[in-house]
Amino acid sequence: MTRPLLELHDLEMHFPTRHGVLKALDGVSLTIQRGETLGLVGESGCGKSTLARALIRLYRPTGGRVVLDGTDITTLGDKALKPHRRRVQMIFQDPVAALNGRMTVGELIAEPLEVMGIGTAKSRRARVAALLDQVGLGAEAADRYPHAFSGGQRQRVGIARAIALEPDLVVCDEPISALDVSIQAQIVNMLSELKRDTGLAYLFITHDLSMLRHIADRIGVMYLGKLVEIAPSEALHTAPRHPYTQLLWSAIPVPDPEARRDDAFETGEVPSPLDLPSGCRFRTRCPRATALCAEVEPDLTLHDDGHAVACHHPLPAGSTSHTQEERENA
Amino acid sequence: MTAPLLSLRDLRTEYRTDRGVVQAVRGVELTLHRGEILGLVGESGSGKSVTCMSLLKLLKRGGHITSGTADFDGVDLLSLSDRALTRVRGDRIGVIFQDPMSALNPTMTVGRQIVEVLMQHRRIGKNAARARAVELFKLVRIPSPETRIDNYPHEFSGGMRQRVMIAIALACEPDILIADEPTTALDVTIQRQILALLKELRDRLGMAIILVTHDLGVIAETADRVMVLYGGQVMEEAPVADLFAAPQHPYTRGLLAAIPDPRLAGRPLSPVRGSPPDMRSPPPGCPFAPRCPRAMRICATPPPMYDGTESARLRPTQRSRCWLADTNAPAPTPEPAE
Repeated sequence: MTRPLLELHDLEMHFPTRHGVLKALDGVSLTIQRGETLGLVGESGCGKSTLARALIRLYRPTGGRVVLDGTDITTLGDKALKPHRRRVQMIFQDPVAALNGRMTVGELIAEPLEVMGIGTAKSRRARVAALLDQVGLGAEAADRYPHAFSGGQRQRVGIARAIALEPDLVVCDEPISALDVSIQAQIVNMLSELKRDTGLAYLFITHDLSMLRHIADRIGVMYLGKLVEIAPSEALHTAPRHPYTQLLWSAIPVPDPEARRDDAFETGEVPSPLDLPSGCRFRTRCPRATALCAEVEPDLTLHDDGHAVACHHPLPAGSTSHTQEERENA
Repeated sequence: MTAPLLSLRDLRTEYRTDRGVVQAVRGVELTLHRGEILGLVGESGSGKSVTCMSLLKLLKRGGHITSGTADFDGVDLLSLSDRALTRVRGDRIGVIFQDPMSALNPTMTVGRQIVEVLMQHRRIGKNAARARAVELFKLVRIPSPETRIDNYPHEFSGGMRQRVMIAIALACEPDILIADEPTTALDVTIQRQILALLKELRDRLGMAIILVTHDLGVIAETADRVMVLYGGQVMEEAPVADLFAAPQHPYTRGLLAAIPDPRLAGRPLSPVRGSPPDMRSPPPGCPFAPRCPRAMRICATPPPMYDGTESARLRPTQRSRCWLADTNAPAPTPEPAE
């Protein structure tokens, strides 16, 4: 196997707060291969956005290591980090909201090239025009201001800016959540095309599980700062092994009235991250929990080909989730 | 058929903004029956939320209703004085929003907020109101209700806060509950709990619910009947099973086709091309025509709302605002093979 593009080893991000230490990320290990789309799901507070920010080094991790293409970047300072920054870019929910509204679209997209000192003003203009074409906006968009664009078009601007430096990895943090359904598919298709054409890899963070199944090669599921399961996308959907993954899947509303479920769904809520349960963090909501789960925190264990789960009592391999069954029957 | 509980006719609502007048709702008609869950689905700017907020005259700054009637049990809500409407709101029509935090008073315990609603609308003493508040907390399944009613809103999680909002909205046993994107800000497991709770409460209390959402999955799980809005107008209306099994309007079809299908994972999705219209100057005819794969020349003129009696293509309970529903329209293209 070739060297992974990105490796996280036991990554930890603890924040001190007035009410104690918030363990937003508490020892997460994973890898992303070149050209791979790794999806990350989990409910609010699970640490998926913290993970994104720690790996692009917006935060300095409090423990563990971030290794980019063989280089440990965990503790590099700004200057040493600069050549590596180019290789990992990020797309946000509303990219333009975070940017200077007085800059034209062309200036916004050229900015990363300028910061990195790439090309001349003239060659940058040509590059911006090519990027705008690539994201389906057309070169004439360069002279307009972002506020004149719709949400979907603005996300295209954000994507053009993110790929300007030809990164190896693009971290997408809820890139389609704020977009209308009819526009989401446009953006997702465009991201797939970019990946096909340039061979870049994505870390795709979203709460939209059905979209993730569509685009991700592998999916990781997080709960309260831990990775509880990671597997190839199809296996994770058709045969989840962690009871939390099964709970998440069964909660997705199915766009088919024939598959409607009218049962009560009382499965409790996520505990406070400042007051974590002993042992397995999911045990307070888990139908399979035993005394062991309160005492010993389960490690993420590789069970069979590419399917890893952190659970003392995982669901049997090859079991079919409730939702899946209903969908197939529908 | 019994008389409808609520009958909205030709609602038009505008917003004056710095950049011009936004025609948010353009002639929406809506009928709601006792005990039914009516889903209003559409994208941002479709007019689904403004339709509901117009009913309660809870419009944001710059918004005003330019025409329409809303017959609620013999009374026109839209011509009521503010004072009379305040009595209806919270008493016979309850409302819950996407973000309960913005609707709750952060400086008051949630119990006191329910007690105030009860005392305002009912001749009831403080102790009786408090007992009723505990009962309501039990109804919406908030654990340890006796102690939780003395907590402040920030002491609840997002899901529990939405339950508090539902409890307040149900305090006076309303005939109608308006739920505007009630689960959009919630995690998926909490969303499913709240949707199950809404269905259960409808069954137990018999109220009607208008559920506003952009999520067709939520509609499929919850609604009895669905109205699809686009560009400030109703595009299609049908019982939920018919809408998903046999959508007629090209916009409804486009929306359904854009949802990822697990059986086609890895293949490109089918987006709706183009962008939604600018509602300061909406297209003169069908608002969807500029994006519609089946648009014809006649679509530059507004299509009527066809129903099953006027169109051979529609079921008796289905309505579609599309020229393709006309009996003279060209035959539909065959469905692509599954």
